[in-house]
Order: sequence, then C-alpha cells, then structure tokens
Amino acid sequence: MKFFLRVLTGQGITLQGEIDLTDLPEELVRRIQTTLTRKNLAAAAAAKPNPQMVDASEYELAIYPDNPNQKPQRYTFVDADDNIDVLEILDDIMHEIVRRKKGQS
Amino acid sequence: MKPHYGCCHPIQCILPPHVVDAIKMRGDADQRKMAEALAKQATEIREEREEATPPDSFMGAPVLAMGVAPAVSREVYDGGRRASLPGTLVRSEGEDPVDDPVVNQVYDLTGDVYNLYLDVYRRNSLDGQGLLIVSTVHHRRRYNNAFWNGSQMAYGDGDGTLFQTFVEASVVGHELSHGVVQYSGGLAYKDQAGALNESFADVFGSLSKQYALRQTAAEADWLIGQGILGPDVHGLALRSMKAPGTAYEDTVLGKDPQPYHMDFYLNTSSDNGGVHINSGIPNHAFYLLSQYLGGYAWEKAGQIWYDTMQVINNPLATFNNWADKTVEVARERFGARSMEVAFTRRAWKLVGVDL
Repeated sequence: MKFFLRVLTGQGITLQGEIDLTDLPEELVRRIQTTLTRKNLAAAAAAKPNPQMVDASEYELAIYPDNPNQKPQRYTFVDADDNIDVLEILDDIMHEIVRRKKGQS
Repeated sequence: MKPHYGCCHPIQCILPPHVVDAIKMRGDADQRKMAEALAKQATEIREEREEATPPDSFMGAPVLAMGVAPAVSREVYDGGRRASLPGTLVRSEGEDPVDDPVVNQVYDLTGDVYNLYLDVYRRNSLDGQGLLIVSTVHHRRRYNNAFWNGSQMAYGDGDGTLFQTFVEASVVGHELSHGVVQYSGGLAYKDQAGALNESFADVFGSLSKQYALRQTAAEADWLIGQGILGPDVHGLALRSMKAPGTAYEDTVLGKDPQPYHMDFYLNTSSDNGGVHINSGIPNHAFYLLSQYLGGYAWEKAGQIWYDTMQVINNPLATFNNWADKTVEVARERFGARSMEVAFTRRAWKLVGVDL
C-alpha cells in the first residue's frame, strides 16, 4: 500500500510526496491500520470547516492498494474539530516523507 | 469622500454601496426606490457621523473620552500539543513571565501588534473595542501552521525539520490582522478578495515588526516569517513583499510561487483561489509605495491601507476595487495633488493593476 499526500500548510506552502506503508515506523503503521479505515476517512473528509477560520491547512490523500487492479482511494480534508485523529496521522506521514526527502535517518 | 471609521451602520453592512448601486441600475421600480432610499439614508448617516466625529478619531476615541484609557488584554494558553482549543491558561494580562519562552514571546509580540494599532491607527484591539486577545501555543503535534479561527490565534511548533516555530513577529502580526479584517467588515477568503485579506495581514504583520523595531521602510526586511524555516531549508522566510517569489527555493518546499505583477497572476482553484499566492501583487504595491514615500511605512502607506480597509465596505473587493479605494483615501487624507496620491497610483501601475 502506498500513500500519496499533499498538504497545503495554510501559510501558502505546499508539501507533497509519496511513501510506502512498509517504509513507515511500526508504531505509525499500527495507528494507520486502526484509524485510517474507509469509514473514518470518509467521516473525516466530510467534516465541516469553521467558515471564519483563515490560514487553515488542507490535505489531499490518495491510497494506492498493492493490487494494481484495485482503484486508489482519494480524500480531501480541511482543518476541523472532528477530524483531528486522521489529520495528525497525516502530519506524521508527511513528517516521514520530508525526513526521507531531506536524507534524514 | 471622508473616511468613516469603526463599525459601519447596519444598512451599510448588509448592503454595501456597490450592491445598492447595482440595485439602482438593474432592479425593478420598487427595488430602485428602496435602493435610492437606502443610499440617501446612508449619506445622511455618514454626514451626521462626519459632523460629530473629527477625521482623525474613531472607535478608540469614545473610550478615551470617557476617561478610560484603552489597555491591551491578553491571555496565552498552552495547547499541550493537542488539538482542542484554547488549552490551559498559562499567562494572563499583567502576570509575570513564565518558564516557557514561547508563551512569553507570544505575549510580548501580541502586545507589539496591539501597540501598532492603538498608537498609530487609534484602534483599541482587533475589534476596536478592547477585545481580549487569546492565543494558544503548542497547538497540535508537529503542526506546520498558525491560524486565526474567528475568535483566537493558534500556533503550531512546526515539525522541527521544515519549520522550527511559528511564533515570530510578522506571523503573529499577520494572524492578529486577520482578526482586524474580520472586525472591519471582512474580505471573503477566496480569489482576489481572499488575496487582499492575506495581503492586509502580511502588510500589518510586517508593519507591526517594523514599528516594534522602529525601522524605516529602507531598513525593514519586508519578509513574512523570517527565521521560522528549519536550518536545512533553503530559504529566508514564507514570503517576501520586497521581492515576491524569492523567499525560498528548496527541494521539499519547492519554489516560492508568489507573483509580483498581474502578468503572472495565477488562476487556480487551490488555496481558495491562490489567496497566499496572488497576495504577492498587492504586497509588492504596498512595498513600492512605502519605498517611494520613505520614512516609516506605518505612517503614510500604512494609514492609506488601514483607512481603505475601514471604508471599502466590499467583502468581494477585487484588486482594482482596492487600488481605486487606496487612491481615493490618499486623496482625501493628503490632497488631490499630493505626492502620496501620485505614488499610490504609480505603485499600482508598476504591479499591473490599472486604475
């Protein structure tokens, strides 16, 4: 399973990259398996943003299954009060992507 | 036209002048009659207010007149790296510094922004009426952002790699200035109006830093978020008002996408229509005006931009609408044949916004 993630930071900077599930730390993989279910992802994507909030972050996630015959799942998320569990995992995934791009161990 | 300050009359708030004009032109007979009555009423109210209010005073003045000096009121909360807001209160107004330097930084920088608005523009806090300024630091874990949510600021710590903090003078000024926009009639957070909202926040974010450091326009760095990028990031800041598009160029962040001229305006559905991108154009116009006028940018250029925000009364303003209003405001404040008007026109022309 592979993740393609794009994060608009809210300050005008876009971070993006992809990473395979097998390249992520075990602890993060466990959280992904329990939290990033289809049901949770759909609910998180449906979360309504605060209309007065400016400089909010936006997240775009595509999950590519190992089986090439299966369609990827695509979601868009905005900063909201009731999707934080999902967004924090996405922040951690992005952190791993950035670390790899920066050549950090 | 004389600028009117503070909160507008409810009629003007609900139906901005350009909407009234549109109804007068396109409405049926009854609608035209209603629009003309509204316009007449608005003119009368404005005239009454102008007679009652000296041109250089606005919301802060009644507070002073009652003998109650405006005073900053701050609360800083520790978010504990969790998402819930506001978190745990760690420092209130007048209390001694605490052990956490980030808390003290936000407390002090918030005071700097308050001072700019009060001292220079005689605005008592974000709403002009002494609003308590609430900030949360350590918001979420590895959060690469800071924001205004309509009632408070929140600052992430950054991931430690790309960003090392979001508590920096121009960023704090930027976020608080979004609050000023909200309480000044607002600008829709989309397309050109959204880019103007972002630009206003950048302008007054930079001015609050310049005012605290008593820097002239020539001495200022005109950077937003200077020093917040991580040590391994190739870049100076989030944005440059002096040279939009040059703040960073990095393997992970990519290249700063801001344009400095309408020729390079980016039509995009991303970022609410490029609000953080196309803001480079009005940002650069403000920078140019400040350089032309010289001295302290908060005095004349800042006054023109601040007055424009108070009188434009158009949440869907385009760059042209805003630019027209800056010239109108400069003409009113400095005179039709003043250098301020000539330079304001020139600044907009040089970024490709035709007047």
